[in-house]
Amino acid sequence: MRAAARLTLVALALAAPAGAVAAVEPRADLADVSDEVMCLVCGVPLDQAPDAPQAIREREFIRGLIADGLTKDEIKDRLVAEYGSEVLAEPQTSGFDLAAWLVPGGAIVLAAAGIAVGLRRWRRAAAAVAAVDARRAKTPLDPEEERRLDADMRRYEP
Amino acid sequence: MSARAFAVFMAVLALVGLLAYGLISRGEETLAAGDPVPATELDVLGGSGTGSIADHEGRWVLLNVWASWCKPCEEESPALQRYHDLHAGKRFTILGIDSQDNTDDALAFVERFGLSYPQLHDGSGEFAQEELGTTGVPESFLVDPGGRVAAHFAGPLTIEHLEGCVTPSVAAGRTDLAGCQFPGVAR
Repeated sequence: MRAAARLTLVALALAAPAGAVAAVEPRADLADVSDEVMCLVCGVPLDQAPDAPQAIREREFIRGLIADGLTKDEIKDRLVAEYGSEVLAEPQTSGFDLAAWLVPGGAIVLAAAGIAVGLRRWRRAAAAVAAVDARRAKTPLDPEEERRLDADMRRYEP
Repeated sequence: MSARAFAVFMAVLALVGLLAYGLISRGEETLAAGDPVPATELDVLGGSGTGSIADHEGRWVLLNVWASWCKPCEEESPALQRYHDLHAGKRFTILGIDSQDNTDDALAFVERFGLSYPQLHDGSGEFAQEELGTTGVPESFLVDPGGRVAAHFAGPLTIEHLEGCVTPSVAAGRTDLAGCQFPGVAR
């Protein structure tokens, strides 16, 4: 009975902080937001922006939203509502901005495919040369056949 | 076409495409005299609904691009409001474009200087930079009743500039910038 009561108390003690954490999101931080939004006039992320008037105003705006208890995502939504999607440091995942994600990814995939194809050809050529060398060792060719074989093999070399 | 030639062709096409995109995305040149002003709908500053230059068709309009964080804009605002008080009516108005600015800061600026002429909000600055071709604030465009640019001014305006350059145009019904000493470039 006592053991059951102790176990219940321990379980409640462990559950309480988890419940508290689940109910309250971490407070947004200016530094955490500033590196994900742009200073529109400066053209750099806000955390790198000098003390230009527009950057100062933007930071004050963000501080006000933090003081109002908004989360980082809510703050970014408010910034977009005020300044447009250009205020976000990362391109959006819709419309033409999607190209900023797709093009580099596509280029990496194409490059990987090119490397894979090139490797396969190189291995085939290497295997073919090894096979020919092995046959030569067993069955020596006369000079004319050697010359013709070398000319044919050169076609497979990169 | 061999695979290698096709790959080279695609690489060249991609490079040309990137160059073209870079050229296009550099933005437009500033509107010149005779160019029509885009009738892009913008949010009314601090209000509901939208507005554009088209709402003032038939009148001369001084299109003034500004921001609350801009010091020269503070200098010119009293002159603009005074000029509006003297001359606004059926033939003329000033239209403010608040660009790359926070709404609350802009409204505080409007209240501080008692600006009574219409104001539109261009939060991202896209209208001012991409469509008007502005390179900073304040910049102003004198627009004729047909919606075409009559003159462009970069920098803060004074009452003397406005009386000397805008009034003759509005009064004469044509662009008359002879002897006009505007700041920046007057075209």
